[in-house]
Amino acid sequence: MANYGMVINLNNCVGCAGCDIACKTENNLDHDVHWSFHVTETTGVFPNVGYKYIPKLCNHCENASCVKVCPTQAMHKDENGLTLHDADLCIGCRSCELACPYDCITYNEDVQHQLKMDTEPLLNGITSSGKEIAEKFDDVPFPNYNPDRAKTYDGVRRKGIVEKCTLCDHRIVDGKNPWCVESCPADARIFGDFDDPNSEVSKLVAENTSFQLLKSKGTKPKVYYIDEF
Amino acid sequence: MEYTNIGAWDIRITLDLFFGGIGVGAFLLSVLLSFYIRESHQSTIKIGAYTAPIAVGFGLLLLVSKLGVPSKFITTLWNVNLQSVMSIGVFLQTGFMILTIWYAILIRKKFPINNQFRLLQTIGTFFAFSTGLYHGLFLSSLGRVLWTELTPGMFIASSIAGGIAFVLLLETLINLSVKNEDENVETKETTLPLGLYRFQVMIFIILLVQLVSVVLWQFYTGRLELEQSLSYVYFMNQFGSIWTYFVLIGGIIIPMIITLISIIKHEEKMAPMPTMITCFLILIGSFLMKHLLITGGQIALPVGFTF
Repeated sequence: MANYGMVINLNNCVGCAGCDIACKTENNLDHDVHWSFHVTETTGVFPNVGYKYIPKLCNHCENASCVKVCPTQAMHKDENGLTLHDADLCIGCRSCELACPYDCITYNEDVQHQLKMDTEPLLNGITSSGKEIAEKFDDVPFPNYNPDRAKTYDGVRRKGIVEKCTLCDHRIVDGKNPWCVESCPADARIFGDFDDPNSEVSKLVAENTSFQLLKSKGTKPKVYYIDEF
Repeated sequence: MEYTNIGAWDIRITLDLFFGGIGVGAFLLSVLLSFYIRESHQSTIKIGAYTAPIAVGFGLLLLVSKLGVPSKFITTLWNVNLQSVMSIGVFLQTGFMILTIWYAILIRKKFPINNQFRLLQTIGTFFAFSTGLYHGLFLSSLGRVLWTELTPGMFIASSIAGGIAFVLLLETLINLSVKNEDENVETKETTLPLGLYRFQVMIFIILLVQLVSVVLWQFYTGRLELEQSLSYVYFMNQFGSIWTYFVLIGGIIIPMIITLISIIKHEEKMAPMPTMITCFLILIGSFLMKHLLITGGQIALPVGFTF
C-alpha cells in the first residue's frame, strides 16, 4: 500500500513541454487528448510583468470529486491512492468531466486515432494508408502504438467514454516511474509515496514552500508545486 | 480573459430535467386533486396521471440518448455509488416512473378509493418530491460555481409550476376543442386550505416560491467569492436579457400578476385565454431557466482561476 503522488519543481521546469509529448506517446493518446498538459499566464504591465508556466495532470486527489459523482464507480481510488478509471463500467455521462476542477478528464466523442487507422491513403498512388503502415508494425493498431499501455487500461480508449491520466500505473506496477517523470530533461517531476516520510517527494514537500492547485476546492490534490519562476 | 464552455451536456439534458419536472408537477397535481376534490376535477386528475409517466419516460429517453454508451444505462442499477447523487437519482427516477405508470393504469381502469390506492399516492408523492429535488441536487453535487445549494429549490419549484401549467394548458385546449368548459366549475366538496382548490391560488403560491429562490440565487451567487461572482457576471453578460425577460418577468412575474388578478376578483376559475397565456409563459420560463442554468453552469473560468 502506498499513497502515490508527484512533486513538480517549477524552479527546474524549463517549460519545454517534453512531459506532454512523452505522455502522449506512452499512453497512445490521440492528437486532441492531453493527460499531461500545461497552462501559461502572463500577468502585470510592462516593465513589471510575470509569466507562469504550470504543467498539469490529474491530481489523483485524495478527496476526488470525479470519484464522488461517478454513478457507476467507474472512477475509483485504488489501494495505492491513484484515481483510476474503469472503462468497462463507464457509461459516458460526463459528470466527472464537469466535477473535475482541474479539467483533467477528456471525453472521446469519436473513435480514437482514426487518421492513423484510416484505410484510405492521403494521396492515392503516392502515400500508404494509415492501416497499411500499421500492418507493417506487427499488426498493431497504428505505428507508434505502445502495447505496454494495455496492461492496466485500454491500449486505445473507446468511443463514448472518458479517459484520464493513470500516473502510468502500468509502469508503477513494475517499480518504474511514470514516463513523464522519466522524460523530463530538467528533473522537474518527482514521483513517490507520500506515506513514506523518507521518500523524496515527502522530503521535498517538507523542506520547501509548496502549493497545490485549487486547494480551496477541498479535493486534497496530490500534485505539489515547488516555487515559481 | 477568455471564458470557454466545456459543453459536456447539450439540450437533451435540459429536456430530460424539463420533462422530468413536468412529470413531477403533473403527478403531484393529480394526486392532490384526487385526494381532496376528485369528483369535480376528474379530467384534470386523468390528464395529470397520464402526463406524468409519458413526460418522465420521454425525458429519461433523451437522457439515455445523451450518454456515450446508452446501452450501459441499465448497469447504473447494479453498479451503485452511494456517494453519487446521480446514482441514487437513477433509482428515484426509475421508481417514480414505475409508480406513475401504476397510478395511471389504476386511474384509467377503475379510479379506486382504497388503502392500496392511498398508499400508492403517498409513496408516489414521496418519489415525486425526491425526483424533483434530485434534478437540482444532481447539478449542485457537481460543484460547479453556478450550480449552488439554491439550485434544488429553484428546480423543484419550477418543475411543480411547469407540471401544473402543462396539465392545465392541455385540459384547457381539450375543453375548448370539445366545448366542455363547465366540468370543473363545481368546487363545493373542497377541504383544501388557503383556497388551494383554485388553480390560480396554487400557481401563485408556487411561483412565489420560485421567485424567492431565483432572487436568492441571483443575490447570493453574485456576492460570493470572486470565482462565483465572475461566473455570475459572465452568465448575466451572456444570458442576462433572456433570463430577465423570459425567466423572471415572462415566466414568473407576469403569470403571478395574471393569477393574482383572478384571485382578487374571487374567480372560481380562470377564463380559458388567461389560463393558456399563464401556462404557456410558465412553461417557457421553466424550460429557459433550466436550459440557461445548465448551459451557463458549464462555463469554464479563465486560465488564471485554475491555479
